[in-house]
Amino acid sequence: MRTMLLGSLCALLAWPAAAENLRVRSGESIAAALELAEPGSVIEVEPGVYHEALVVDTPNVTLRGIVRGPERPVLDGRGTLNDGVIASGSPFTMTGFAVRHYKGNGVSTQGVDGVFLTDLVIDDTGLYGVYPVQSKNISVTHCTVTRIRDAAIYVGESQGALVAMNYVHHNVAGIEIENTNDAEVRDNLTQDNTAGILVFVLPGKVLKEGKRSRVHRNWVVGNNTPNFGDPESIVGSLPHGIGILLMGADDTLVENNQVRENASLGIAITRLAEEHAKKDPPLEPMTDGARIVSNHLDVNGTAPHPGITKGYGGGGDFGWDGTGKGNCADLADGARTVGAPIGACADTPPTTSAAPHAMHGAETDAMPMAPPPDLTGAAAVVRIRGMRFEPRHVSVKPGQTVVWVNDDNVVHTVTSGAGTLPSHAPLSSPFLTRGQAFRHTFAEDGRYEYLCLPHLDQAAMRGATVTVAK
Amino acid sequence: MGVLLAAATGLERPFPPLAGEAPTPERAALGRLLFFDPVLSEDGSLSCAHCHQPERAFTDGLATARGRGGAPLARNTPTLFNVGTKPRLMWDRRAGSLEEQARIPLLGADEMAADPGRLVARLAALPEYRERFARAFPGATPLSFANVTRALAAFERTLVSRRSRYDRFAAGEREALSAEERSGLALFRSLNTRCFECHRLPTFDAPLALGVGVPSPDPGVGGASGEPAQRGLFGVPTLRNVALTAPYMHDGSLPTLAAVVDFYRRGGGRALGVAGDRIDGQVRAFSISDAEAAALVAFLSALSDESAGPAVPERVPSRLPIHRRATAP
Repeated sequence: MRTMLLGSLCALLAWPAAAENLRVRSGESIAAALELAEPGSVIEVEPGVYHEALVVDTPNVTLRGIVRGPERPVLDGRGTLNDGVIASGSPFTMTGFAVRHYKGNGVSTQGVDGVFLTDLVIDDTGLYGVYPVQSKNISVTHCTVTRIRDAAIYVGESQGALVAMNYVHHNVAGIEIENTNDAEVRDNLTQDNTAGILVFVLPGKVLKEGKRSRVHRNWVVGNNTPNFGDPESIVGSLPHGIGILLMGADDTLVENNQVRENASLGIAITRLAEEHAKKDPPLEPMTDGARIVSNHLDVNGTAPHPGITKGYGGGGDFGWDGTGKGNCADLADGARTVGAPIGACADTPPTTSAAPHAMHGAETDAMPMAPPPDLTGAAAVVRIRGMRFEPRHVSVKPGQTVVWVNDDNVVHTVTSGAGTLPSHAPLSSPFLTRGQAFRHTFAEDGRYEYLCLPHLDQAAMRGATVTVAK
Repeated sequence: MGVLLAAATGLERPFPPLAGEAPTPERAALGRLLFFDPVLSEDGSLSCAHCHQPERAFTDGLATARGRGGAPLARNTPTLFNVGTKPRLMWDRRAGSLEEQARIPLLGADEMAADPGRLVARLAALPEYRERFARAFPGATPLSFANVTRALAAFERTLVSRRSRYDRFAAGEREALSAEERSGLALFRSLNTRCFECHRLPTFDAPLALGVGVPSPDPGVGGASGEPAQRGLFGVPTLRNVALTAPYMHDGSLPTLAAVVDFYRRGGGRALGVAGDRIDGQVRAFSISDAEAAALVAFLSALSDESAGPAVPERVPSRLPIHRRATAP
């Protein structure tokens, strides 16, 4: 607190000055620092556990968690506080926190223009993990969100959003884009949720459309967790085993996603149910103008939820309920389609070469190969193969570069973190598909532990290190 | 200069613009006199202010309104503050403008039961109204039933409420709300309670028809639209000045704000046997402590306007008494 008081004094003496940085140490209160925040303030929070619910109404505040290896500040609601963070000030930035055990929600922005949420590790925060609503110009990246009983990342009634590089697993819904225009959902890994990615409209909202979203380059894998949402809520009726669902949103592009092992439907297109739509007549309930192109669909629909069997006649890689105008899909020859037959997309060549590649099956040469990885300047190369880092421990000198190459047929990451806790800094690779490389140049001495986000439950995929010493 | 300054807090939001015809001073002044003048009713017994009493934020303190001769009406009298921003009026949202809305109580047999021709004749017999209509509506026929509704609507568009302690807090005056009220504001914006999703800043309402499940045979929006799926839906009322407008809900069935909070806390009508398909998905039971419930009520009380409402005229051109019936406290 002394730092804060001193900072305030300096601000008074030097007025008008740039807003000060405020430092919060373990045992101090972040809310108390927010009381002193001015537009432009950066609140730096040391690692520690903070039992607080934060409200940020001051414009242009940054909440910056200081991440030191496995340590980061934790907002812990202990199951008694309602929300981790509610922000209304524009813009709002938050990085480097863990948020857990809230009753209502992790981080919500309400009516904010400019939302920057990155490197948040969110677990068990009630209804939603990250919820920008009635907001615009949103970026949610590099967040890990787990055990949420509605949507892990929910963008509602908003304009313009980037949801990228997030890892969301064991939630009811992974990523939801609701009554929102111009969202880009890319390079996320959604795994082991009830459903992976949903782009849809609901009745009873002021913004009555959801248009022009682009869902691409995501990994949507094994979203088969039985629904544990409130049975009386809309999400509570979501059948498990859905990869990507479009419901009532228009002009959505679904491209180049890896969608596999979702037991009901890999990709589904359906209308908003009539009983919902009739409550809000201006809302147009059909899904129109969906383009499903160049996706890799494999082993979906093998054990469909009874509701899917009833509605579509069975499970599959792709299902359409036959409603809406201008929907098309380019599907590989082997794709299993259910429901109504859908036409191919007119102006794209059929993706005959995009035969699926199995997660654990034989390699096929049909998978598009990345160009050979660029190894120039690498002091050490780590191959990720057979679900392990090889070698597991490497040593380099300061200023030298390590390159990781994924040789596996599954997606991996190279992510800083100790044990099973990702810290995302300094190593934070994108999801690496087969043949893709990631490089990092280490400036400072140290021992850098890292893990693979999608596989941190496997001992061989965590605890790997880079030692940097002169 | 003000427009160049950034918002002091993210709670400071622009109000939606007034819908419909912009009020002129002449029309608003005329509308004020008409609003308080029982001459509008066929038998000279009722004015608009009979139910829309200024000291109660333009409500009447009754569960459901009483019309001509005390006739019971179907619904709770809504506040008129900020009605100028609402695209649709009435609990069942059947009126698309304030002018259209004004016709409903003016012509309703159980309400003012006016006959348009006779009403215009009554007004034309009063020199002050003749003069004021001529100034407010220059043209061939200044005094018409339509212009009565336009003048009333012009007055209603001046009933603006944006000067509560909450507004001062939103403008950056942190001491304007007590610690308890601030905690109530956080609860209001919580995803546990979800109040803010329908009672939206800065008007604390939304241009939406939603169901919360108050047990009632009233079909609401479904009755007006004929759409069965809309049965039990009602327009979202504003919470500005809500501490002044008890009792609550479309039928006035909840006597206090504490009772309203309790209603939502238990999941709205879900706890009372109302079918779930009549209840919006965002209305779900939530768990808060009694202290938190009290904080929520404290915050709602900070939404009362601190400025004086419009002046009640000393007398109206008809010389009829400005009727203030004794009502429940």
